[in-house]
Amino acid sequence: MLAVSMGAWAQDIISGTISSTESGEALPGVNVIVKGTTQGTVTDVEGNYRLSVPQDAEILTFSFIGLVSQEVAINGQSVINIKMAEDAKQLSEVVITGLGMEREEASLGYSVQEVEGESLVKARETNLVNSLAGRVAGVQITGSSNFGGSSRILIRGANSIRGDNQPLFVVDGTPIDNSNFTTTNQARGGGGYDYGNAAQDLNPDDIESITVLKGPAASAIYGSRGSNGVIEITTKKGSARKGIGISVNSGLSFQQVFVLPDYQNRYGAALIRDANGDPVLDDAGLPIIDHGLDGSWGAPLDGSIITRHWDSFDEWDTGNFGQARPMLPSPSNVEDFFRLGRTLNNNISFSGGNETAQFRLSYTNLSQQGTQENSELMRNTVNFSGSLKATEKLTARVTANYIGSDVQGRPATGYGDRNVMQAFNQWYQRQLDTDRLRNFRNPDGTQRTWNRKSQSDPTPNYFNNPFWDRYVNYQEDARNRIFGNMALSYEFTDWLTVTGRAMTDFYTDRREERAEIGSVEEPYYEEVVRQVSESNFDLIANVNTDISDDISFSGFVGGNIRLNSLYRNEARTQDGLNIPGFFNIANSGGNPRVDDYYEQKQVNSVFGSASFGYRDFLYLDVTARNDWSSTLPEGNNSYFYPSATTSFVFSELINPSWLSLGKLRVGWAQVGNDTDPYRLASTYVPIANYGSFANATVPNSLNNANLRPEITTSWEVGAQLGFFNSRLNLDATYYDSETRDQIFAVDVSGATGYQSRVVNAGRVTNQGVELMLSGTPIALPNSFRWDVAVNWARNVNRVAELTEDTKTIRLSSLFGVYVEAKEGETYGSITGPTIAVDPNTGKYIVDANGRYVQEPEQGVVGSVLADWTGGLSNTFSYKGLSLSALIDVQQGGALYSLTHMFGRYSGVLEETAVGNIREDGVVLDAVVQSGTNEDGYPISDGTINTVAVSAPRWGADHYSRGRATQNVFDASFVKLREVQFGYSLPTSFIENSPFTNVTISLVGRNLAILHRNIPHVDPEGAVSSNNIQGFEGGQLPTERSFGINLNLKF
Amino acid sequence: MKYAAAFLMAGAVSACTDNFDEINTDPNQPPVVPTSALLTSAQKQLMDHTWDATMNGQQGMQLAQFWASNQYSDESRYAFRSATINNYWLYFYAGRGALDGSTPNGGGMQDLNEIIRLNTEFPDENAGSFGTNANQIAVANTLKVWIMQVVTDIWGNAPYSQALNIDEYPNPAYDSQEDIYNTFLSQLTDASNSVELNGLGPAGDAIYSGDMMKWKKFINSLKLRVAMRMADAAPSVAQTAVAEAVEAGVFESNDDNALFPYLMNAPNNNPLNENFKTRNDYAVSNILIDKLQDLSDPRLALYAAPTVNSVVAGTPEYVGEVYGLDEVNAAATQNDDISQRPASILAADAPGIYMQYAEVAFLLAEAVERGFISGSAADYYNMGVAASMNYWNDGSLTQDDIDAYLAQPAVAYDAQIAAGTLWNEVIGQQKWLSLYMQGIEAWTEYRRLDFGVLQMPADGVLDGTGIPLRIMYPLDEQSANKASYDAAVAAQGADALDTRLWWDTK
Repeated sequence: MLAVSMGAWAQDIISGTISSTESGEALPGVNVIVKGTTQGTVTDVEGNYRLSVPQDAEILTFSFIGLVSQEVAINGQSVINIKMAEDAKQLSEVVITGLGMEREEASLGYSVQEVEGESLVKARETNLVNSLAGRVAGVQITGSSNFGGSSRILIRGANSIRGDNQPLFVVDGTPIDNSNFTTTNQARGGGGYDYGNAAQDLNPDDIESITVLKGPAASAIYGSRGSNGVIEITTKKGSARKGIGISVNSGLSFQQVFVLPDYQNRYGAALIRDANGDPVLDDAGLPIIDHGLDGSWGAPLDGSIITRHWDSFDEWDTGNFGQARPMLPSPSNVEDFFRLGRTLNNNISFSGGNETAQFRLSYTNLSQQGTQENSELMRNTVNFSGSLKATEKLTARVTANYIGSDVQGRPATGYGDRNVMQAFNQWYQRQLDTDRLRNFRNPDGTQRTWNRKSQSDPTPNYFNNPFWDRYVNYQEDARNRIFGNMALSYEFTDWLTVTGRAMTDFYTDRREERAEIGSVEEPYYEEVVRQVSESNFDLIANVNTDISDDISFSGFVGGNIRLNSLYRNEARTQDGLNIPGFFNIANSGGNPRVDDYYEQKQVNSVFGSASFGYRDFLYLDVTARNDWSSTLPEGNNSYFYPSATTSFVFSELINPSWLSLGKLRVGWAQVGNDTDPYRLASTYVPIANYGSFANATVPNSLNNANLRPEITTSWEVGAQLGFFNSRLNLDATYYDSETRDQIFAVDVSGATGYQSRVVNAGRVTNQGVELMLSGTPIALPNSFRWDVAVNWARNVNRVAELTEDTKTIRLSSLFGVYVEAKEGETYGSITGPTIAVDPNTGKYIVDANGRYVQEPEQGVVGSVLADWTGGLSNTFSYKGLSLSALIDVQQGGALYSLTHMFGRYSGVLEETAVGNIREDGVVLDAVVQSGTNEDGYPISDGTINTVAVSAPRWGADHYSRGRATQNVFDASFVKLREVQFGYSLPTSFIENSPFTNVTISLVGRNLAILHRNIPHVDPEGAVSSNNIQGFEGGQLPTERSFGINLNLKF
Repeated sequence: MKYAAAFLMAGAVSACTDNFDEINTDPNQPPVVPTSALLTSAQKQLMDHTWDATMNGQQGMQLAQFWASNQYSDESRYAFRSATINNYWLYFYAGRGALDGSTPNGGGMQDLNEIIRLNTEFPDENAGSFGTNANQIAVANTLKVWIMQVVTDIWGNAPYSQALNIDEYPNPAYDSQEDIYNTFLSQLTDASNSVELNGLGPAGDAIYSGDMMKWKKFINSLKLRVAMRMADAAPSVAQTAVAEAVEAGVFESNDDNALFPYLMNAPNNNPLNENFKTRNDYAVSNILIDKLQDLSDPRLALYAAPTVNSVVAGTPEYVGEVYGLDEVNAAATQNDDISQRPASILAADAPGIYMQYAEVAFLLAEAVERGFISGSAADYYNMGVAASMNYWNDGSLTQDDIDAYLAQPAVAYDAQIAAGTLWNEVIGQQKWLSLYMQGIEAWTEYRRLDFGVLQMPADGVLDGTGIPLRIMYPLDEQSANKASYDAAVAAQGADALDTRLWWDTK
């Protein structure tokens, strides 16, 4: 300033007030600059400014993000008051791009899509990722309504064969951990708890906006971690204003289970029979039901059978002891198990500031009760952001988040002991009365279960009483997390700013699981503590200068050091527990099992970016980055990747009245990737000692000391068009990406001594189209408005190449059905035993007994990846009222349903008791096998099958014959994802109150599945966010949610 | 300015890659372990996977019809689960590791191969404290033959000469069973010859605690087993090898038995004990119980428990679960009305058996009948029966009980032969009874000796045409080793349950 003052020998003072064209309110923070100089100021909280200008000054420039910039000729005026209008034109919309850089969208040569924070706040998903479903083209969300559970997100398909295909989450520049830490067994639906992905900690209340960077062209600057796309989150910040702004946001919602299978209610538990098939009678002459058998192929539930039920054998239970009751249906016994869930969310935030310092402080409490009893989730979030312009040149910023979450009683998932749905849907006695099961404990504290081994033996045979699992064998977990960053920026000159940042995300996550003495499983207690940390340090020099009047330039160079570490300490009791009710490792029957693990990784990077603009219609961006990763061998641990993108805004040159925006963009990028730590050297696996003998083994996966970095190359072209003054907008993108030289473990013949070896190989391609169409069909002067947005995306994925020796990589298996990466097929092929088909009639082939015949080799029956995804949202608004509905569509994809397989096997599903099939058996619509062809495949002469299979055999054959054909279904769906109704009280109404704004909204989430092709279960049912998808091992019922939100601003 | 910053950064960044080696050194797994730890791992693993509830309980013990399923009975009707077949192929060769989601609990043949490699490539580093190189290699080779024989007797042709050498043979070819058996003989001969009785035996040896005299007997007893398996297919080779083995010294009493001593606590307890903690899927079959009752065999009370209901009623009796019932019928019988497996077999510290003296005695009896060696078949037969009785004896049996049992016309060797029963049935049936708990071996000897007793599953077979002659190859081999698999099938015959193995000539 001093220099400027000295140089300016004559000064005038100009002052004025800036207000909004739309609302008339004063606008603080508007930049006012004397054109062609560095002299300027910003408006104060009342929109006023006062500025000394040189006498030769001619023009003042007024600018503010989101508003149309204006240039006003001074012409000797000393007071210049102007109104600034909101910038409706997308052309100058500012978006957040890689490394948090704000850029005008028009200048970008790649596709980004933004989601406003407001809709997320209303949606109130416990897992933020779920609320992106249906909103962003090219993003496939596989969510679950598991309490606190996972949501998987795939952007433009899956690139990596074994790697994590999840995008990078970045909050205000800080990379955030999104680990799942689940076991492969849990992910494949084999049972266990879904602890969710760690990005669920992000709090919707603090989010200003989310930008989805879809392809490498957009995310190249993030390096290897951007290869799956980036979810860039910007949190709310304080701004200069008068006084302290207070905002209160409260939400209350209720969750109700609504996708349950259709059960049969005609038959229950089996009767015990003697060698002649006659029922065995007890001392009282009553038939005995087989309490130990967990199926429903038995006694009719018509009241004709009177027997002693499971709760009639305990003398203390005087009401039931010795009593016999008829076998009667219990149609709502599963539904009765669930309660209404409740979620309460309260947020209060304070913000304020002046021209030099701003802050925002927010506190959120989320309290949730799940639909299963004894399930509670509590999450407290504190968010602080502040900035201080310490001097004219030096700015300091800090953002800090604390999240503390505490959960008790997550529902177990999949085909595991603790998942109540495994019993209800797959192995159950349909006559069981849920209210009676509530009496799950004997007076001495031991368990009573319906699945007693026999009349004389009350110990559980296969299943605990579900209430015992809820109230005694529950799990607990807690996470304490801090993430944030500190930044210092120094403006060396008006075109050079250097910023140094320190960013960190670290948390401690503690999980406890247990089984009490007397459970069906061996009693145990397990505790897993993880400390996860990622720190990043970077230094970036930003350059912003125009090369000439026509050519603008901005760019940056920088460097980053990233340190990741994971510490895990896992202890589990062995040989049972000694003291009932005491859940501590010290209570282990034998030596506890301990897993002590530490992992670390470092990546160093240098990067740079240059953006050139020519006359506001032609833009060129180039970026370059080089990484050095500690996980790769010396000599191969450095990798470079460039990107180049260009954008041509042709509507600046030809400008017919109907075209408000026309832009073409092209981008190309190459991204490298490293691998997990410790995949180079060969080591041994230590095992628990045998007595006093050390025990160690050769691992079954062979490491590789010669790994190279993976490379993903992609290009995309796109167009963005606005018509009729932006009433109709179209954004279309075509992209093509190829990942090669992937690092993954490839299955080898066990006879090599290994199960798999780590190699660099493979090529996966993704090509796709993304379309976003939005428009405003109606906008009336009375403020009625109808907005429609449609997004649609199709991704074609191919595993183009694996290795010379391996054409198939098995990602996971569950009961003999596999999810595989198969050369020439789509990633995530579901394969398994299939039923032989007669090519002439197109019918399945059966043997002489009327049972399906299998093909000799396994076949591909589907893929976990969707053919296309889409979303449709409609919003109607009128004055303070708004109504919106979001429909979410997935076409294709496949799901293997254990509920279907075992529910038919055990006779609990409706189809197992339709008509007279239990008496007459099932005659399959098929042709009879007449022999085999020269390749060993069954063939038929076309004889129509007339032989009936007994219903239990038919049911069991869903497991034993052609399992994949019979139990894998198309996972397409159309869902009414969300309906929001909002109402802002008119200003006149609250004029005399302390409030400046009051908004009430009603929100319904997951309201209906409008269409599905899979029976009994929800086609969308993630139990983890990792690569193992497509298995439904015992789905928890999908929940719909109804809520009310109240937003108050002071 | 900006260039200065960039250069500064680049310099700083590349300078700190010096410690990358250290950062990427795995602190969780040792780079070097004593060979003793690998031996312990292999011995435990080999036994775990041939003794456990799946390979043994669900398959071996049912193929031998010792046990029957009281639910989920498909395996007893010869419909096998592909995942099980995949897993065990892997476990036998490569060991079980964390990749399948389980806790790593040791290696199979791979650990033995590693012992051989380390003793060959780095003889000085292992020789001193963990046994002499020769003894370690001899022991490792012997156990390799033991487990590989299980593999080839289940599947037939299998990778062996190219197995466990991924650098040279990423897709190992299958050797013919004849070649595999001939290799066994030469490996066991070499092992026997290379034993250094005066040298230090291997450390970490849970079987014999490094006693090389006992190892030598085990090597030759195993050679006897291998040779007798070849008796029909290659009689002259078998005869020579039998004579060599006997000459070099085989088991002489139960003191020589090769056993794996399980311990009281997990994870070192008997795998059947571990399984029984949460599941009870198998009961003793009617085939075994009926046979034991027909012969008034005192082992009945040692092999099975009286039914719970009969014990409650005060009149203990034994009732076998009917072998090979379908799902519904198997489930309809109450556990309390069926003889369950006895506590001694399900005990945490019940030992696993690699090989017993009783088996050696029966092999010698057979060798006499075949004219391979001289001696009295009846004497060896009696020694085999007595050894089996004594092995299982919980203290309730006396020598008089054994003598009385052997004197029965249905048991006495000479009386049965005189009555026209062929030696393979006489020896086979008693051998079968003595192989209780060694399900795979009992089924294998049934296939070779065809001694009767076994029956078709009560509710019929689901796959194949009768009692299986082998088990299908793992589906994994079709994806991971297709060309080799195809060649093996072309050489051996269809990959089906009723394709006859090389040694199974009739």
